[in-house]
Amino acid sequence: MSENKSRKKTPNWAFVIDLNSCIGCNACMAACAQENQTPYWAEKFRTKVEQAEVGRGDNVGRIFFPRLCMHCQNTPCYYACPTGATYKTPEGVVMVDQDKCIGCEACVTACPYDARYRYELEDVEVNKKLFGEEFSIHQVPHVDKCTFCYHRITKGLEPACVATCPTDCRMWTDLNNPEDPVAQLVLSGRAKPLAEHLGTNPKVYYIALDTSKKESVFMEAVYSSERSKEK
Amino acid sequence: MVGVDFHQLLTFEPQHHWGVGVAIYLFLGGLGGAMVLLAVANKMLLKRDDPSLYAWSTILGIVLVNFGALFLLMDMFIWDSFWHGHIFEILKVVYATFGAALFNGNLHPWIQIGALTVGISSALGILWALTMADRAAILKNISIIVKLGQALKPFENLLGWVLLAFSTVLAFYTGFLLSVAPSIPSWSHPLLPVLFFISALSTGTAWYMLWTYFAKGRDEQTQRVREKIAYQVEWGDIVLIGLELLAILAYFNYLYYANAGGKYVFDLMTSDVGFIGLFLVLGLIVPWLLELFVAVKHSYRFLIPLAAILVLFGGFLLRYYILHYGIYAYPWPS
Ligand code: SF4
Ligand code: SF4
Repeated sequence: MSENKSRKKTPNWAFVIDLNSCIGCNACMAACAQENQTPYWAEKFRTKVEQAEVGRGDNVGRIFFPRLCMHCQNTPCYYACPTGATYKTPEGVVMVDQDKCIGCEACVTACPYDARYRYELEDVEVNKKLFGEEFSIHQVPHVDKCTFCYHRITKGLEPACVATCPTDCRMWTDLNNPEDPVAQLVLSGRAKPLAEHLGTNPKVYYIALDTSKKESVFMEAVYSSERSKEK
Repeated sequence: MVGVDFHQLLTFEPQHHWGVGVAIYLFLGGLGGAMVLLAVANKMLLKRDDPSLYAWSTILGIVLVNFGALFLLMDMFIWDSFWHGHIFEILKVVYATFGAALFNGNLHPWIQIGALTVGISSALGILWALTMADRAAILKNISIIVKLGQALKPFENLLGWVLLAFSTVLAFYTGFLLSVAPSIPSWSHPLLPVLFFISALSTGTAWYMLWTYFAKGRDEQTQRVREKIAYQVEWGDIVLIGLELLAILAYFNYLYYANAGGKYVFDLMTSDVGFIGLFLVLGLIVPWLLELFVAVKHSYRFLIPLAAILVLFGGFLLRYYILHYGIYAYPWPS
């Protein structure tokens, strides 16, 4: 009985990224580009993996930082959109209705996480050629962004990037299911939203780089930098 | 953290979505809005009678706001559609911007509030100006306009009061347009709407300084009223520029202490020779000193038009530089 009740409850989806296990392979970007027909030919993606060199001199390492739309619950892009093209589903997933979008980019300037880009007329044309007019999911120019693969998650599947990530750096959960180990990462406070001070209340949570793990690339750079100082 | 430079954990990136077209709109929108507001406030609140000045300031103010809106539309969206010959897309823009507010009750975004305010103020402003057509220069010679104005005469006061409210929103809302950008420190700044509003009033005042300097009253009484208005706007602008300087000081003080992103923008802006030299010195401090000099000495009035033009120049540069320094502070390493 209680199981039935919890099944009927609107899911409270959340996305967890473990910064310690990203190896920068970009498989997530490829999977997303294929699944959501994003204009990879123009280097526009719904999700990206940033990378940065850390350390100084010869003692450098590389850290990776996957990012995507945070599906903010206090949603700057939604407040900025003058036409109602940006909207939220009952589960809190932030979406764009391409037929209502006029491309004013008010949402793009409002987004604090660089999660949106313009799907230009040329991109629409290339996409139609690549995927076929009938199968193209981008019919008109508009502003595009991650949908958490809404068409998949509403069928009980994971977002394409999560399903593809080879190191489980990207994880998917329903916070209404506290037994789920991924949900526990969020509920315990170990995974935290990005730039919490902005008050955007995101649905994407990050596990910070564990600076006590010597084997992490990041810490290798730090330790080797310390060692070289000791010498 | 050994080996990690602070800036490696933040990425600063200039916004490139809104350009000069938006800066032109912010300037003309504020200026036009203030011209209408000052006309209607002078007539309704101070009860000074100068129909030519009020009617023409209102009409020109509305023309400027709508002309500026064209730049906004071109910068934001119409340009591409226009070049691609997508008339349907252009109509969609117009419907989506006004229709969403009217039919979907979608009134929370400032673009939407602005679109409605511009639309309603334009209609009200023209009607209000028409009520003075029988005594306003040039308009009084066009019989159909005079007849229309006479038909509207019974509503003159009602139109005036409603226009006072709408033109106030028109003059201040542009500052709020930029405010929904939490990671752009120079835009989401709490003082930006106040700064833009003071600057809009100052540029509006500059227009009145030019008019009262160049256009003489048709009779002695009108000239006397006009001189009173000239005195009032010149002192008014001295106070407004003083307030603007204070607001700029507070704006930079907040930027400096708010967060790393704010500090980054602060460093860029305060080391920009254009911003300091052209905007702050030439567009603000020099006209302020000129106006003070004329007001204290009661002579050298030929400096007034120069001060007014510098104020207008500064008003545009303020918006240009604020847009230019719209720099995101993203919370990831680069
Ligand atoms: S990350 Fe950006 S696009 Fe996504 S919901 Fe937040 S403001 Fe909107
Ligand atoms: S670009 Fe489209 S989604 Fe973004 S604010 Fe404008 S209309 Fe809304």
